Amino acid sequence: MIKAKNVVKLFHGYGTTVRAVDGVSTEVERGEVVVVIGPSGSGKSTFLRCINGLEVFSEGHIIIDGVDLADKKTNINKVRMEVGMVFQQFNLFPHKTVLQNLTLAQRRVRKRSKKVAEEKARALLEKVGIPEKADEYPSRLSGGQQQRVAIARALAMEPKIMLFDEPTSALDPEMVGEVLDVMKQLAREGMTMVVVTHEMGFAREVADRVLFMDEGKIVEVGTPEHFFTEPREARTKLFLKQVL
Amino acid sequence: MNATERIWPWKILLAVILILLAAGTWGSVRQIDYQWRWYRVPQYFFYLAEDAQKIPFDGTVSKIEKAGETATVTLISESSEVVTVEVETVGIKVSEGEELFEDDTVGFISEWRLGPLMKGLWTTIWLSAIASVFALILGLIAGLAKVSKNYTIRGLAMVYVECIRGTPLLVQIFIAYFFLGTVFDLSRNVCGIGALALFAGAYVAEIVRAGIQAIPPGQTEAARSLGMTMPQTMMDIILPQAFKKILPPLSGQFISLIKDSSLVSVIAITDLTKSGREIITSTFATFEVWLVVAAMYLLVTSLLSQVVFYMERRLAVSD
Repeated sequence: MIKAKNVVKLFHGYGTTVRAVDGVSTEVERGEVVVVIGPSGSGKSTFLRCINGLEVFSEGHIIIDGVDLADKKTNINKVRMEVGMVFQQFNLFPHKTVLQNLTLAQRRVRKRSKKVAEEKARALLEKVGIPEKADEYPSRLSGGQQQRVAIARALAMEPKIMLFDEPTSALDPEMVGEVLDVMKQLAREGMTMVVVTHEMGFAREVADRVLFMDEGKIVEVGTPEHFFTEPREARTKLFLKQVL
Repeated sequence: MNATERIWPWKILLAVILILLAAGTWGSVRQIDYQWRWYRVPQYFFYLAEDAQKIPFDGTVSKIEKAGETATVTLISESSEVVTVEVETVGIKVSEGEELFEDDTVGFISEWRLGPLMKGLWTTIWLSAIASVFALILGLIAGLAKVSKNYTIRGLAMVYVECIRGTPLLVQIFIAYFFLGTVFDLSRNVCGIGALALFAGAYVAEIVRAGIQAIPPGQTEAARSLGMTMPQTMMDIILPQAFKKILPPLSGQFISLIKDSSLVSVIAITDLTKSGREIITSTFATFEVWLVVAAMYLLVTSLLSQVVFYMERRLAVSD
């Protein structure tokens, strides 16, 4: 489903070059849930953003469903239709109601009729547990509700892959659960997911595979059991000791 | 600091200061012995025009039928041609059986007309309105160009904004009229509107650019991650949000434009300012006319502020 080959992302500052992602290679199978963990500044978010082309990587290949993002002829908008993304800061459109947030891209990109798009939107709001908020503006919603709307908005495009970029990091602790529940349900339904998170509980419970990144490189890969019981690398052990 | 600080002493102080200012002005004017002639001003807003009704041939008045305020006068020519003329009863100049020559006045019809001040105000309003529309379009295009990724487009917008902002509007109007107007054979109205629109457009461009850049990049990322193209993202996500943010500075710019439109009077467009000057040449009521003209500008600009204030409140529903 996703195949990353030796992906490198360079950031050029004043006189310095930072290798934010430094030769990452991995594969994600259909229906697999991969959790990426690592200290901040380790390049995990940057790598995630490379997968849907929000960051243009400097070297290597990312192949999604057979389409190579490094190929200049690739229509990135076509790829993005199939790759949903959920952000740390929700990024809901504040000038549109919840329902309009969910229908806009369906109508503009999938060219669905208003009726079909709204039916889809209402069904998804039901699924994430806030059907009564359809006509509210995002600013009236709690953080947890906003993030669930953001997940529904991404799902409305019926993507094959969902990317989560620290979806619970900006939430009050008491609202983390409701968002994680939605994500767990999604995982159970067989969605292919790549999740960057600090929620070790979620990683342990839901992940099929855990990637540990540091300084732009994948340091260790393994099942959750392996990770949380007998990590191999010293760097991983240090990180887990600090977060658990 | 007292939370329930009384405000009325300050209100009184404000009133006292304003009254002192007014009294001071009044006193100073008395010293120079100026003859105020406020009664001469109203006729320049509206006036009663009397149109003389004339006989189109040599002939006689055969009949005058008076019906209240109007009267119908029947005229017969030497070749028995019959014409009826409606005039006001009050100012009737002829009597039955009287012999008249061609173009003699039979009577009058009077009618209220707009005076030069109102006509000038109207010119100022439509001139500013058209210039505003073009300024908005120009500013939007130039503002989008300024945030473009393409160097050439960005450069063009930068040259435009810098050239316009670095030269006085008065000089631009002269260039538009005496240079461009001559070369391309443009009317003075086109030159005036064009110069105003180009001038305001440069400032609108900067406002639009700032508005677009004030929207968090996450909004663009969210829209793009849903597969929306850059133009779609601009139209549906960025510009509507930016518009809300830039409405106050934008309205300030358009208020400026209304005031700056007084400069087009130098190329002989009869706007409010030029009308004022013309009235002064015939009345010498300099003080009164300029005060009235200022008050009329103030009225228009404060009405516009009120409209914008109302729009801001309407747009605030999603906050």
